[in-house]
Amino acid sequence: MTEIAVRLQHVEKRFGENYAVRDLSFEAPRGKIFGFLGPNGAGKTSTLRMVLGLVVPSSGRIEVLGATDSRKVRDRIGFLPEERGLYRRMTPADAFRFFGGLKGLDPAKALARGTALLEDQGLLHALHRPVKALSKGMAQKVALISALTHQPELVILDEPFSGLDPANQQSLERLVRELANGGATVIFSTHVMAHAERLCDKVVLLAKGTKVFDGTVAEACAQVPQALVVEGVLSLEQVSALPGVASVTLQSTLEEGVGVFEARLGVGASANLALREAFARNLDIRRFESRSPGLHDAFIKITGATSSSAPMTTEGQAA
Amino acid sequence: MRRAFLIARREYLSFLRTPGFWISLLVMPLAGSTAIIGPQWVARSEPPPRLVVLDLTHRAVSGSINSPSAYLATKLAESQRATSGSSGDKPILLVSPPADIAMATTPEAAGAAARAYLTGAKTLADGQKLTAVAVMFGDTAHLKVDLWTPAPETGLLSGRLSEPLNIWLREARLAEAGVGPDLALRLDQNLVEVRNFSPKAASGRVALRDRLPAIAAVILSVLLWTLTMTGAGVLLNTVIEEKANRVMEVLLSSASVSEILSGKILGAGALAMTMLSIWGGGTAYFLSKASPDVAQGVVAALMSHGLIFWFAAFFVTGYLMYASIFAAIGSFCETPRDAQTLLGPVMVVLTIPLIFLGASIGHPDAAILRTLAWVPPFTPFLMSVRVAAGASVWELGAALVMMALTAVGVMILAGRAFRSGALAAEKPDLKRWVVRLLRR
Repeated sequence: MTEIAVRLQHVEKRFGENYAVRDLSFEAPRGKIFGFLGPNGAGKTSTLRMVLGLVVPSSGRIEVLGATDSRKVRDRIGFLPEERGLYRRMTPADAFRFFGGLKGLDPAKALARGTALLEDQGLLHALHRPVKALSKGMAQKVALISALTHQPELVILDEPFSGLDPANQQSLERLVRELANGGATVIFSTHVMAHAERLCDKVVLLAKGTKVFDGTVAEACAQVPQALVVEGVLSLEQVSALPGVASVTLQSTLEEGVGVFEARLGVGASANLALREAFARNLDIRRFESRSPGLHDAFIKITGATSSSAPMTTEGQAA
Repeated sequence: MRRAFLIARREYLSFLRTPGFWISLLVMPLAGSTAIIGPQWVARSEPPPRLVVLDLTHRAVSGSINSPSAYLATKLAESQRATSGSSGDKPILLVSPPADIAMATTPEAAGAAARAYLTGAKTLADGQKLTAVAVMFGDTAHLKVDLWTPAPETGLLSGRLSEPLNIWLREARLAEAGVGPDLALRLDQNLVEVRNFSPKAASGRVALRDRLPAIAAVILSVLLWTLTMTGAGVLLNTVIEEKANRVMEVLLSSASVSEILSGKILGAGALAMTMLSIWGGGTAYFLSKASPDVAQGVVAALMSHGLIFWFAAFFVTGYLMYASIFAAIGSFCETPRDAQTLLGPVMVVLTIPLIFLGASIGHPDAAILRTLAWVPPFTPFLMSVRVAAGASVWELGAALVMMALTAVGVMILAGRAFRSGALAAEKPDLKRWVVRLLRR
């Protein structure tokens, strides 16, 4: 069995003259959590639809669970679309039976599995309540469980955290981790960087239909130099002279000649080395703070977008 | 097939549980009952018409027979006795003319006096309002009645007066010609009897039983229209809901377009069949209890010329065609308002056969009807009428083959449209899709 769950090679999708996705290649390893990141309109949903076989690519090759036609392995895939994907009048019990049945599972077995997962989430009381009577968070969990009753090898989640409160986001993150721990491959799209940072083994960053990064979260963050905040009775030259420092700006001046400097380290430079050297040089330092870059910073650095114009968020809110 | 069945089952059960199904179930019997009982209710809810008759003919009519007003009074009294307790029109109450009307010597003067009573400016001595004033004048050569009523749009009263007055006029003319009352009575007996015969009638002579197939065909066509609209309407609404809830994407990730479409059509079709069974069963039970003869006649009508078989065949093909179109339209709609816009042309097409159905009873072989029955959107509704008119098996068979091919073609096109509409990244545009298809 191949170690790659999903493989895209030079995939393109055009709608008329417009490219939704352009020359996209990546591999999602089995049993890992794979993040598909980018702002709205970046091509995330189009790519997921191509992976699911809902949309045929204009060119390129897609391989899902070893098959070049994902429709042939649709019973091994679980899918949660953005915003519920449930009938409003249906109860969770009926949803488990119906969607499990569509995936080839015996309806009774689908109900038993769905009920067990619902109980794990502390939502057993909602089993026979219509979806329209559930909160958005509860409905989202029911929708996800409906996509999991047939124990899929590949789980595709389109913006699963969208519109959820922090408690429900955390609970859903736990569920995603449990899926991966159970051996499933999870691919999810999001424009919220924090979820990807916390969950993903690997991420692909998309901008305007084009892949701009493919690697681990650490690799993405390593592309952005570390930042230091140094506070003390110092001159600009003294801070600039610290090892690894690429650039320095004076942010503000406090009383008694204390300055607050923001320094950017070069790629691969160590903040610890700079701190040791500062002590070695007996510099009058009151505060020395190292700021690690996040995926948000990485995305801005990689795409060249400015922080204010980037249509992505760092935590829990839609762009 | 298993997935299609699961989708069909969900469609069927989900709509069966909604109040909309039970309302739809009641609409047809309610509409039918209201059409029969409604006019009677309206007539019964009105107060009896209060009529004043002013007879200005007394100088012109021979004294040997009653005056027309006296004859009318007798006949209205007879009619009142005959209709008491029945559910028909209220009997006309003859009221003595008020003095100002009674004193009028010309129709114009009588009309002028009547105006005040009919507009409510004056009331009768007992305080009641007057409904009508009939002023009779002229002679047996030219008997005229000016009927004054406050509601010029209703002509029912004039019909109820002209019938007895025409009989009086005939008797008066006969009396003037020297024909005695006994002879006049004998003349009225054994009038000409036109008997209807047809080689298509079972016994040669045309009876109600022979007219039933044509009536049954029209009723079946209306039923087919109603069921098609119900089933296709259900389909349209569920597709719109599934698009809005993004369930459509989940379905498409679990089943093929053909499985989804066939499941949906099957589910909504089963729903239509349930309604048909309940309506048919209810009607059969009611008829067998109320009028076994009519029930037997209806059964014979449904069996004649294989009407029920052809109805079933055209029902299936017509339903498949329209259900596919409605499902495809639904996939291009984000909201029910979008659907209303796109459904406009389809509804216009669907109205055309209804217009021709009424006229088809009297003219089942009319060239326009024969032609329209071959236009696929109208075929399912008009071919039943052609069956009852005794169309050849070849004509019906060829029409059925054409309908089946059309239904398959429409289903294939609808499947493509459904996929395009259901998965459109932006707001889907049916017109653009059709233009693209035509270009290809």
